[in-house]
Amino acid sequence: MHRPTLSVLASLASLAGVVMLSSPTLAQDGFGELPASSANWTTGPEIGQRIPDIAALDQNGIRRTFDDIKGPNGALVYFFRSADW
Amino acid sequence: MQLEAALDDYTESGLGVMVISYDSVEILKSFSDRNGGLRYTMLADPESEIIEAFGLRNPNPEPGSRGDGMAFPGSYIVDTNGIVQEKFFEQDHRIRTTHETVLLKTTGAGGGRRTEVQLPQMSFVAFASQDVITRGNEINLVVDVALPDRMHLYAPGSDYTAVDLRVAESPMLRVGPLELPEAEMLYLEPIDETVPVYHDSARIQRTFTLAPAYEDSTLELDAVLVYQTCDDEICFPPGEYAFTFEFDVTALDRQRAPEAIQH
Repeated sequence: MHRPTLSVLASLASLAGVVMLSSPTLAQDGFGELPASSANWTTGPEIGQRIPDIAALDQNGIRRTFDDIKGPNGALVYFFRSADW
Repeated sequence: MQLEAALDDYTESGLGVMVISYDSVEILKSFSDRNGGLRYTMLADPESEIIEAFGLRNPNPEPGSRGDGMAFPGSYIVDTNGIVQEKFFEQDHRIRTTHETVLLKTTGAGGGRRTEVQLPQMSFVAFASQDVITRGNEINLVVDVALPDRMHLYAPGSDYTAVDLRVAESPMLRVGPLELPEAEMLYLEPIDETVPVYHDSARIQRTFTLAPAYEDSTLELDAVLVYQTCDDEICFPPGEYAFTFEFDVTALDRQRAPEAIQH
């Protein structure tokens, strides 16, 4: 993807009488803007803290808890947005 | 890899696996069925009780909208008492730490194709958490340095050149911070200085993330290992070794639940 270089942007800006700010590349990178759903981001318990109790129905409708799912070295507890979309 | 493919690696590492979302039991069952019958435990939290207890409820969706009640995505590695050992969260939900990266960082084992390099004063093996990656994946790069007897490698914090793994940034890459093991403090009598060093071996790591806008089907990631070593008699000049990590880049595919049980 071609992007104008900084010197070209600066020249155009001076022609337009606009003040150029530094760090012009962030909005042009391949990551784009943070999605709106990323605002007010939280990440829950920190390293060293205990997670809340977990008890819920699994995909087969069977009630499960952290203790019956964990392994001898603990567990991966993985949150995702949706299995639907 | 997807979680189903990584499940055996988690099990072999002694880790149980549970996946939590605000989906109903029906949606989870449908997802499992249309993916060939998933073996890992998926827990239904349709009232977001667990999600809220964790403090992960995403407040942005309008009440009653499709995403109302969903969690910010991410994962924890916890011990048998439920104490968090590691956590992997990205603010941009399109970016995710792969299971290969989680397993490599948690257990130290795994990873893809190895590149082995012999240098005059040391050798190293370089690899990534996986060789096939997807846009938005956070991938772990590893350099395992091996040092001969009496040779030490400098960590940051002295006038010597500190070990570094430089990775070329670009608009299509985000590169994470350098991750190093704790250094040993070595007293150098001839110059009456104490310096931070590694002996025998050291694992140097950095993660990188490939932008969602990346378009090619392969990625060549240029890297430079920067280092300086001394033995107990002489110091060698700092060195740089350039090499390349190679990846295949694939696409993710998505599929929805049947309409009747959708959010």
